Amino acid sequence: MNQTKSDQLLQMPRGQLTRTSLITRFTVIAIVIAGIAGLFAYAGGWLTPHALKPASIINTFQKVNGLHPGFRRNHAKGVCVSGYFESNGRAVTLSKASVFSPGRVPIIGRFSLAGGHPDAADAPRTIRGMAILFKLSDGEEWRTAMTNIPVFTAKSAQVLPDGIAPSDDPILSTRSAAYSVSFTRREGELKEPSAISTAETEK
Amino acid sequence: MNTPQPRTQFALQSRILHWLMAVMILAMLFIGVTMVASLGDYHVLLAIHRPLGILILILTAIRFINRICTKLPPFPPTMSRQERFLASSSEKLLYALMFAQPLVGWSMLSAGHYPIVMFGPVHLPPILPAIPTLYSVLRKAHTIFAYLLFLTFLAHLSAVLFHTLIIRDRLLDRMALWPTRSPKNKSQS
Repeated sequence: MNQTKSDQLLQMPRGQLTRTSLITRFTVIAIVIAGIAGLFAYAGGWLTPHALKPASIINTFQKVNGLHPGFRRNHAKGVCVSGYFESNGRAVTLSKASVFSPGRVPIIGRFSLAGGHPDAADAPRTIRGMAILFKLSDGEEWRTAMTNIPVFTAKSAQVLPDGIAPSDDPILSTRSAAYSVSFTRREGELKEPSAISTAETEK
Repeated sequence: MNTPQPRTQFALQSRILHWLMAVMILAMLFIGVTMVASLGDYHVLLAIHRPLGILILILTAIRFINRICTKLPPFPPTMSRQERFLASSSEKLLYALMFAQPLVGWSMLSAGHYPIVMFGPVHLPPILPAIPTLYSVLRKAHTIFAYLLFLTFLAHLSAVLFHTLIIRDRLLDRMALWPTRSPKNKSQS
């Protein structure tokens, strides 16, 4: 391309656009760009900061338990295991999941204490967790985690962050009790969680 | 006329690849940003995100080869030297990100020791050893690259809209899926 021609074209007045037309066109561009950016921000949850997101649950755990680099935010203390799950095949009538057909499925797992403190004492009343990763023969994985409480105190994920309280911190323990009581009252359906745990342990 | 008829549009396969990938990548960015903020739909969205990412990677490779092998229409004369430089640089950045983003996603799942599920029993092999700390670095990179890709897309779209609506140099015609009249006719009118 010859430079002179392009220079001429560059200096050309921008057509016969009136001032109003120009403003309208710039507005259209602004609306399109802002619209797409706005939708993106909405999809990512930035426009609804109080809506529950995975990050808000994790952040609550960190706020309550403090930061312990290298450890999980919840069920921080635990021990890993490896082994296999041996199925006798009797559950095939209940589920078509391949783990239940007779045979061995290799697993890795982790036994843990509930709560975000990696150095928590192994108090009998502390909730225990058991996480298992089944390595299925087709390369699929079944990852599951369970705790030893008979019922989970939060009836939905929406109310979970309100119920997160340190279980073993002496300074925060009074606050913790208050948390639990107000939490279960709000739920209105369950007894105080520690009462359930105690009942379960004494059985 | 002056020199031998230059192209006025990108090659047909280039235009098809452009619009197909534009839709896929934009959908991918929205799926990604939605799923990480979602409690209920995370797994469904992730199941779409993985194979779609690999499809984009394959199309990017095809598109890159096509880009090297085909002739481009010249920049319109309304683009200054700086603008042409910016356009070429953003094109390079977009290609780099289109390659990097799916590869980082694949590497990230490999480093995190996740199965890389495409559909049903079809899995991809890991491309990195399982190293948790590497996973955390790659996971961050995946987010940063996604934002960078989205911002580059917005800049690209702004520039095209500016040329099409304000300068009115028919820049968009070069990428239109249908045949368009040549710019010469326009300068006559």
